[in-house]
Amino acid sequence: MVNQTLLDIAMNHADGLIMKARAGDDDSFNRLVSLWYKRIYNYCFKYAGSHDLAMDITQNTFIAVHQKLDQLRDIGSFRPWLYRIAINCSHEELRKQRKLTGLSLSGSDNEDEGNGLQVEDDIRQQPDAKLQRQEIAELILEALQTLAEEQRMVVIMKEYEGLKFREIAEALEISENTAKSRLYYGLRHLRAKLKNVINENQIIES
Amino acid sequence: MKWKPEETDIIDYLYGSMANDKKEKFEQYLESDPELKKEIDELRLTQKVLPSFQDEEVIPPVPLAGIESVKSRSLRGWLYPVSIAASVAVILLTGYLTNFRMSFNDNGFELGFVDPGQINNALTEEEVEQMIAARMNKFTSDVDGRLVSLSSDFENQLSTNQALTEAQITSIAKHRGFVEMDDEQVLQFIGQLQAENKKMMQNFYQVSAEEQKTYLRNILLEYSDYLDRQRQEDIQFIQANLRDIRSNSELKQEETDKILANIITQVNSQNSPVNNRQSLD
Repeated sequence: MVNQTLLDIAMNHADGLIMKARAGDDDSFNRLVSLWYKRIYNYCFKYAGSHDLAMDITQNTFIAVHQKLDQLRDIGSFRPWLYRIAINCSHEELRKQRKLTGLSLSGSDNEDEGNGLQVEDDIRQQPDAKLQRQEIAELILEALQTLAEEQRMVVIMKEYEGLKFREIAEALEISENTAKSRLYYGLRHLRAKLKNVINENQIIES
Repeated sequence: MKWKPEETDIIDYLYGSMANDKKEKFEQYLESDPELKKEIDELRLTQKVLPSFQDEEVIPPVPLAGIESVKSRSLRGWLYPVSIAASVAVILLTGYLTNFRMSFNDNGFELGFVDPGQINNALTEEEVEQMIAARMNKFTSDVDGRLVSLSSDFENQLSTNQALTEAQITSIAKHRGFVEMDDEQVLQFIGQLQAENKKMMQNFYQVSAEEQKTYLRNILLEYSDYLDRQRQEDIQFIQANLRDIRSNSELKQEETDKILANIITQVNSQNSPVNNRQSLD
């Protein structure tokens, strides 16, 4: 889950920084970047499933933010605006990658039989094994990649980035109900893909 | 008709964003729908698992300074028109200080660093031709004068050198006693030279032949001496070897005699009466 304290700090101090950065204060812009860099990187990492891609997308995102910051009218909408730019940069980067590799880096539908099944197969092969945190993280990352793109974006923004439904809707330019619907199906899909991890977790807790 | 929750309601319930009255209604419904209750429980468990994938630590890269430099270079807002105005002002000031002028008149478009009005009217074509012709005439007469002068100097120098050379040749001929010869004398002179050469060659061959004979004789003598010496050495070597063989034979004969004597002595001693008695005992 998102570090709430860090988010609070970011939210409490971002307005002033954004105003100064928008007015052309480079120091404020750099501080703004420092504040949001980790969040945007982690969003991109969970979305793209690759560190290198996430780094590229994050860098492009902040270059775009720098170029478009003076177009931001409502400072209160900075967070969804920032994620919208990250989403656009992600799409652009993944499109480039697909052109280069000819491979789809994301799942196409909920019934995808790709990485998700592989995750389950791996777990079946070692049902009694205690899954370490790193292994669970890798399984979750793989499961996220099997989500449909629009569901994945909503799940990450809600579960990991802590955005409000209003903000998710604004970032994706959809209605709140659509965002909730995508989140519901996304969670259901993850529940199916991570069944064994969930069971393991339940056993450990009990 | 019985109320049935939608997907959005399930999400609102899961994330605690459902109004209280609707929440009660939803929970009442759950009592009647164990499958949905189970699904919600499982979704909650899924929500609990997801945070296991924690944030990756990442450090903002330095290249943001690069963005800054790009930004500082890019002219934004009011700075852009101001910079253009400043550039225009600098150009105008430079033009003023250098007295830069532009004009358009009957002669066409004129650019310059002086007032076009101050420029005198251009020369006519005839005047220009006259000036060129006068200049060319002066140049031609100058060149002709220099050529005549150089030609006379060259001829004078040539005649002086010729006289000097003839005088030197005459002086050398007198000094060395050379006299002029006709063709007959030349042939006679060549004939004498040939006769002398022939005689010299004959002498050379004669001397050469005698030297070769002497040299060959000496070689034969030396070879004969060598053969004699070699024969003597071989004879001495054979004689020495024969002596060695003879002395070796004598030595071997002596040793054989001694061995035989010893054997005879031993045999005799073994056949003596004492030894015979002991053997009988």
